Amino acid sequence: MAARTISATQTLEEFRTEFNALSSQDFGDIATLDSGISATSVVGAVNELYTSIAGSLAFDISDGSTTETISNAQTLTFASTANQVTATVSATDTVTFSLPSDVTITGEFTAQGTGTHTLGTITVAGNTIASSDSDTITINDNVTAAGTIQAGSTLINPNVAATNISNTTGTVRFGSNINLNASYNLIFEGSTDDAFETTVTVVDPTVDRTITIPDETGTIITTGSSSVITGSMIASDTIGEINMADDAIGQDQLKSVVTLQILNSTGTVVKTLYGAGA
Amino acid sequence: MAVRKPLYVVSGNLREMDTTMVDEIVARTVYQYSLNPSVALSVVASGGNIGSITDTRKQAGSFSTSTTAFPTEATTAEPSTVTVTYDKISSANATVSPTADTGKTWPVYYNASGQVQAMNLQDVKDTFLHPAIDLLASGSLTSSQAGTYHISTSASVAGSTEVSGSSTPIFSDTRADTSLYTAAGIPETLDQPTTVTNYYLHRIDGVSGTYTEPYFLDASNNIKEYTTAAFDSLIGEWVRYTAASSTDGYALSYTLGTTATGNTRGTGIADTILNGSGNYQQLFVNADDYRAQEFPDGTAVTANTYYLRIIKS
Repeated sequence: MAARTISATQTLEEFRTEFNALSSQDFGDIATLDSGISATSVVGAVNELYTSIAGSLAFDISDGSTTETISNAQTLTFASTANQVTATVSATDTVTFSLPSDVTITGEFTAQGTGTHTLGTITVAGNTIASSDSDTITINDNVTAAGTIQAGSTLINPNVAATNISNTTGTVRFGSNINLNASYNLIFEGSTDDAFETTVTVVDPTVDRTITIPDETGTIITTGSSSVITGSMIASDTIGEINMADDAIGQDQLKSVVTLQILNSTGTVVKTLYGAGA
Repeated sequence: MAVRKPLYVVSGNLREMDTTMVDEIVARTVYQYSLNPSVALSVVASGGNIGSITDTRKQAGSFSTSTTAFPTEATTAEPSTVTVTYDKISSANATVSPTADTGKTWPVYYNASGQVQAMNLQDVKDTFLHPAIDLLASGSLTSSQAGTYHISTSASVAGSTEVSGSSTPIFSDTRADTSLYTAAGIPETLDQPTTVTNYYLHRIDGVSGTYTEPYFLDASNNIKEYTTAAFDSLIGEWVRYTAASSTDGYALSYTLGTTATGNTRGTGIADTILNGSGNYQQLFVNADDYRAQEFPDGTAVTANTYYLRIIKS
């Protein structure tokens, strides 16, 4: 708004118009003064304002817990904090606060926005953390989760009383060898979660061993098994004499059994031999 | 009569012996008998108990003498007969106590039901012992008669052993030696014999043949092969017992004489004698001494033929 002037060549009407504009626009309607100002003229209002300011040309600044008073003629300094916030004073009467490129938050950081939060190439959107330039997020330190960690259909549940590793498909697949460290075993709960489990363990190997489970459906036989081995499990012509217990084969086991009796000279049977027939 | 076929093992199988194999065991039985005959003959000086035989020969009659003329033939003594008795063979039976049948003593065989059964003693007799005795008691003089005896005019016979061990004849056939009687020698010694033939007692030597050991039931009723020694001993003692003490017609004995029972063993023992009526000879010594004597003469004839016989009874 420039200062209004009336040149010598201007008409009275022009003067009247400029004057009215000066009165209504530049000075303003006196009726619009703040109600706290009691003066009824501009000068009066200025004086009243001056009186008010002159009595206390100071104001307080406070962070909620600490209050500082800025008195007349004092300088309000906006100090920057390295890696936290930068204050920049510029014309006109402007203070600009900005964050440096590298920001250090010494306390907790809360981003309440519900949109996407970005840390470099890492974005956090709601409950989702993602990388904008990779399909892999690397965590270089230990990860502790209070709740279940889910990777696709695979669940890792830290609850000691729960199923710690599971898969929503019902099958947990391992893409590598499973190596149970020393003194650890495979333990099967069975169909009932109770105090009884079946443990698969090994005698401490002294050299590398391999136990092969054959490509077939069946039940593993152990030394504790009884009355379970069937003839079809035994390869033909493989049972040797050493595998036969003494006094183990009876006549009922012989095919087309034939009998040879041995008699003494009086005709008394002293021994009966049983043999397989032709 | 139950001749069995003992079992033996071939290629791990029990098989019946064929008749050849059984015969080999019978031959082995004979051989075992020959090693120690239970009916043993010996040559003794006299008193033999299987019979007496006599050797007869002629001797000159006593000479006659006269001071006037030669005694006539009619008045001159005829040659007489000298008889010598030979009883130089004695028989002795051994007392044998053979192993009793335990029911599993003897070889096994397949009975009619196809069962394996141990032979009883009667089976053993029928199969081994009696056939062996039959061989021993035959009139042949082969090794199948080993351990039995025969007579030979030779002191040495291949395959046999002279029993006395000193070539002592059990009989000597003598005759008067007519060449020794001469008229000039009247009065001649009456008995001037010459031995024509000596007879010797021999025992046939055994020949060990091979045989297949049969099988028997051991104490655990297992079928087991006899060891050769065990079966030889068993069959040997039983054949010896049978020969000496059989009560069922298979005991062996010997006789010496002319009886016809049994099979002759070896050469007949001939007692030969000159059959002449006397060779009347005279000798003029001087006018007061006329002598005459009849010497044996004639052709040798057999007065008797004796035999050593083996009897199975």
